Amino acid sequence: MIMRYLKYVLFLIVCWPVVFIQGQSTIACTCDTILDSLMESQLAGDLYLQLDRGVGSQYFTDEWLKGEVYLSNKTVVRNKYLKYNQYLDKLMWLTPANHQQIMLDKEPIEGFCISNNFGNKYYFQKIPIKVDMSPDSLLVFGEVLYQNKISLYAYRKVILTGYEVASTGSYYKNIYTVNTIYFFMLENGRTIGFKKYRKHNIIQLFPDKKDQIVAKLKELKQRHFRNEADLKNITKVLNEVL
Amino acid sequence: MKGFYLNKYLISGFVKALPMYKKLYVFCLISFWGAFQLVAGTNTPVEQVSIATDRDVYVAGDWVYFSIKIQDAGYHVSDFAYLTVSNSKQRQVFTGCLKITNNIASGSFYLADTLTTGIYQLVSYTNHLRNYGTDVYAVKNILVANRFDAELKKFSEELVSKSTDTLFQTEPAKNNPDLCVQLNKEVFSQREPISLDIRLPDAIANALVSVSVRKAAPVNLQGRSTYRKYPNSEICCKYLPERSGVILQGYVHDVNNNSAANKTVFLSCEDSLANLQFVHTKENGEFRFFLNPYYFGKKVVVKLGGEDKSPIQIESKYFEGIVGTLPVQIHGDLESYLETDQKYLGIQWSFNEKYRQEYLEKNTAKSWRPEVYSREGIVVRPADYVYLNDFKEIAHELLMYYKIREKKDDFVGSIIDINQKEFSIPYIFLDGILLEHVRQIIPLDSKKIRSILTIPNARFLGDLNLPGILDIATNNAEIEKVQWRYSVAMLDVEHPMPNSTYKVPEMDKIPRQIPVYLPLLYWNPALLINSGKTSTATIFTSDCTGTFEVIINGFSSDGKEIEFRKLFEVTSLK
Repeated sequence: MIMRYLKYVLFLIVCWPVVFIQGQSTIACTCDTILDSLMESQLAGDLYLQLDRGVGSQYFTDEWLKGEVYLSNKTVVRNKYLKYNQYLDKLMWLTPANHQQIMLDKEPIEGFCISNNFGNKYYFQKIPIKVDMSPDSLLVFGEVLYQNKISLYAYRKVILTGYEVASTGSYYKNIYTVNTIYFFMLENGRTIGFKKYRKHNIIQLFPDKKDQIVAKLKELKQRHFRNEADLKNITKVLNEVL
Repeated sequence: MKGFYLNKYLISGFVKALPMYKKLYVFCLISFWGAFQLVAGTNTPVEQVSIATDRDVYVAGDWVYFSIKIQDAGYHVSDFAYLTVSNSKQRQVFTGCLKITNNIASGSFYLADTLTTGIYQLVSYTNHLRNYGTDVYAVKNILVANRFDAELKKFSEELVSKSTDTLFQTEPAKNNPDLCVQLNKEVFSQREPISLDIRLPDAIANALVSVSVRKAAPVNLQGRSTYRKYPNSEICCKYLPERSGVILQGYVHDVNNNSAANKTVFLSCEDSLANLQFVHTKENGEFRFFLNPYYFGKKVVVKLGGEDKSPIQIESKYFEGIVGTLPVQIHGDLESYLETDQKYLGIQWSFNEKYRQEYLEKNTAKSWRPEVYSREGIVVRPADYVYLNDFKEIAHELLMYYKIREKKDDFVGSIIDINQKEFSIPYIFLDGILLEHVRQIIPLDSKKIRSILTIPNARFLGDLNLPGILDIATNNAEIEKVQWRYSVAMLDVEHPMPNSTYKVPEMDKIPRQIPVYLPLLYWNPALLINSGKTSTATIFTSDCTGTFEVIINGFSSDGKEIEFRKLFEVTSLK
């Protein structure tokens, strides 16, 4: 008999927080959601008509992926279909209403994030890089590989490497190749670029801390530098040493 | 069950018929339902506003110092508050927008010496509180006497007769028993230092209060500083909370005065560069724009797309009228008090001593221009070329992609899209503001125009397609002379009021021969008192004598209202 009462009491005790939360939610209003959409900045850019279909992709991902755009006015534009054109170093946006491809203005964008269908997120941030022979630095979108006091970015530039005669034989097709340059960004905002993974080259970038870096790498048994994962490891080491 | 209706007999019979364990179950269900209703029915107070002034009685020509406190239980609801001051005839005499910083907004406004003697009402609220009606507005009544009002005696007599009415029974300020306020003495002489100690008990974490030390007036003006309970409102989002900026809200009706749904409304403001925001109207014709601090102090133009004559109505945020009544209770000789107060002000004015201090707060809010383009277009400066009479000639001679032709006593301007090789009508901006037609810029000659920027390709701003852009900057704000043919609404977005405070006079540094007849000795709009700590203020009595009072108003961290009044005397020097 007691057990019979007990189960009802237990049921109601379990229900109590649910009732409480439900009760509160009835008075919650959607003001914040409306306000957020009202405050959201509009993306602006030129209508882009892609005519050039060469060999190799100009894009970081060929698929339109959902992402967020971080603007210089510190607002975030969310849930947009985006594609990063590595050849033009521009972010493309697919308008929802008429499916136009818009080449977004680079100036107001500080960075962006795109997520693929597997839930992987790729963060890009505008970083200043020094171009040979140019007195001024250039702002480019670098993929954030590691972020700390010393951050690691990959500038995945697509370059035109040649031409190929189309199968019809009536025109030439451009050949595009990805040429990645890696950048360390120091605390003061200065960037140091390098193309190769060689341990020697990287250590040379910080000559006064050479011994400490070598010792730390030895301690971690990090001998080889073959891929980006190794580069991230060395950036972690640099953050500890510097 | 046919013919079944619920009454108490049926319910009691139904319950009696149940076995014991089911009775218990029904009892629990009912009690939980009751608890549910209690929680659901009580609105969580999102924010409460309270208002305090330095005094209750003023003379026209004086400054009113006020503080508006927001209690939001840790939620950051609003960044801006509004203040209206109306006379007994429900006419606004002052309106102002205030920036809330750390749950407080304070400032001052001038009482014009043209104001007639009477009771005035200060009403304060936030945009979000407008959803709940005037019941949640903070209200404070003040009495203003005009020095030149011949009917001052009649007015005070009227007030005295009214105050005997039982309707105006007011309670004196209830002292908060927890708050400990101490003065170093009970009786002071003129120009003597006062040490004011305020201590909060340990049980309360902190309290935000305003402190006023002033001459006690023989009048008790009832006002509702705050309202604790929120009425149920199903439309809590009609007026949104204002964070980091203000909201401009309005309606579009068609020519038959029906709500115009899904119309595109544009907003741009006077600037050297083109800027634009756009929204679509809702079913009821309503539209809203978020105005970040960039718009403060600028002229804004709201217009519809194309040649639309539907009128645009911008909603005013300022409350018009009086909340409740204006009760007053006299407990002394009001006439002689007002006369003395007027004399004091006259003396102070003669010596031109200023005790008001204005300071600009560091603007931390994000401010940005909603630009239409951010890259450089093709720029032409007509001053670099031979003088041209009007814009038609300028377009013909200087603009490569934009042409104007005359058609049926009007003008048509078109731009060629260099990518799509098509002609289309561009968006024309003059001094940052979107125009309705090229005819509006035809009178502009080479001397008036500083620069013309052309973007000869299709651009998108959100989902808005701009087939091309012509951005004209003038030397002398020619936008103000432009004629509009279709519906347009223009308004100036006001700056939030500057912060100002009452500067406590340093009496020990003022020579004796300079009279200092100040009925207000101290005003602190926002004093944060921490638990168990004593806040001390050292102030001076002025040359005014009589009964003075220390008034403390505010909230404690646990949401309790704090109200405190302490009297002391100031006697003349022997």
